[in-house]
Amino acid sequence: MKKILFIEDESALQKAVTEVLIAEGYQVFSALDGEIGVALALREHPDLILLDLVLPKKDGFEVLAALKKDPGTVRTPVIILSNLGDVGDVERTVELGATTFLVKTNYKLEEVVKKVKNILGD
Amino acid sequence: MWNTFGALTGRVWYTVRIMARWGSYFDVAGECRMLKVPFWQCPPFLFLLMGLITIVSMVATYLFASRYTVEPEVAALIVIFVAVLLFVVGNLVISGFDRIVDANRTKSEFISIVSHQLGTPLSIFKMTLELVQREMRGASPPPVDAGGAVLERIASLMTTLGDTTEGMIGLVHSLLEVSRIEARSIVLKSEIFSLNELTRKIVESRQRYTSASNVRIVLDLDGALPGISADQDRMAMVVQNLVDNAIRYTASGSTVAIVTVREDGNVRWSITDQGIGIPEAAQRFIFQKFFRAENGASRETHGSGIGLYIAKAIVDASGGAIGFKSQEHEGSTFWFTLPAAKSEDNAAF
Repeated sequence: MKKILFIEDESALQKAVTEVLIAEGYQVFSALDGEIGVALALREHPDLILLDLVLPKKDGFEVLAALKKDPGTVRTPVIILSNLGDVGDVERTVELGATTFLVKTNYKLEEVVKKVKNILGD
Repeated sequence: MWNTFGALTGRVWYTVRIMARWGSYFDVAGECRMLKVPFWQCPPFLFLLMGLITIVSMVATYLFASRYTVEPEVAALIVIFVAVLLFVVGNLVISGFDRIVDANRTKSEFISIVSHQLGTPLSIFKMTLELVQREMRGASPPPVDAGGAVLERIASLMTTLGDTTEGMIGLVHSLLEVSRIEARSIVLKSEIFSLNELTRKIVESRQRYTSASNVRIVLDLDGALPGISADQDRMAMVVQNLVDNAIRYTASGSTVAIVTVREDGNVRWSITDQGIGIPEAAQRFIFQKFFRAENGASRETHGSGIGLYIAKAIVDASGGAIGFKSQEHEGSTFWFTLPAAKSEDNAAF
């Protein structure tokens, strides 16, 4: 079973996305802030990470930088799922090594799942 | 002549040193960083610069005037004229910059609030509705075993939508209130009510929030507190903002204390938390609109930075005062005072 880590501080969103991913047969770990997110990623070595940008304790940019520095997570695909969508934000995350950037309000749950499946080759 | 020049140079140097000391005291660099503008656009820095230019110009004008004018009165008049001119023009330029910097900051913060603070609840709405649709189609796990379970789940999703809607309505009201304050079109009702009662109601309405945050609220309300004459709905906004901030920024497992007390002809309300506190450098900006202290914003992503701005505007407009005392890593006490209603009004109340 493939593992997905979802780092998101909004519990309602976390529940919704987690639920559909579990329904698709993935094992999902969730973190409510950036610090826990990095710790979980380094411990669990997920196959994919879904990452919000506005996060308590450590923001998404810092989390992404930390993940891309560690040899255990440097190759893990990271999907940014955020409501920040400025060109600057997108460029910064791509420079830091994000695989793709999804603006939350523009995507349906099933589209998010489709992206995940595409990236994981399922 | 050289003696005079030497004395003047010494005086100018002394003034520059004093200004530099004031500059470091007022932490011009820190203030410019906080305003997120380069030095040449930063009003506090421009203020210092204009002061220096004025002094240098006055010295130059004095030297020039004393060389070409025989009468010292004429020289003095020219120096005063140039100084006043520079002062007026400099002030106009700086206040113009000040307004531009403020408008720019407000615009950026507003965009950030709209994109994040309104975008987030909208995403919750969108995704939760999708879950409801899946549930109704029977596509969502856990497997539906009975009609009752589906209804129960849908009811729970609806609660999420209800809470999110309330949050959005609150934010829209707050933004409208900011625009009313800016336009000076805020109209306050005058009604006599008990601040203790209002506090109890608000604390009760926050019960779910306090238990989710693992925070205990302790009330120490003066039983003989006189009524106040103010706009009850607006004061509810003030109390709610202060209570929410205390819960939001206090440490999990700690206590928040609310105290009311009569103080001369006023009623004093205060709330003390054991939270992260406000860094000293950020304290002078705390009542500015859209301001959030760095340590608060990085710990808690839900604040919009307008609650305290609104609270101050309402308390000021109600004839009261608002303030705080804070120590970083130890906690904060926010307080406000309002004039007690007159005794004959209190009798009716």
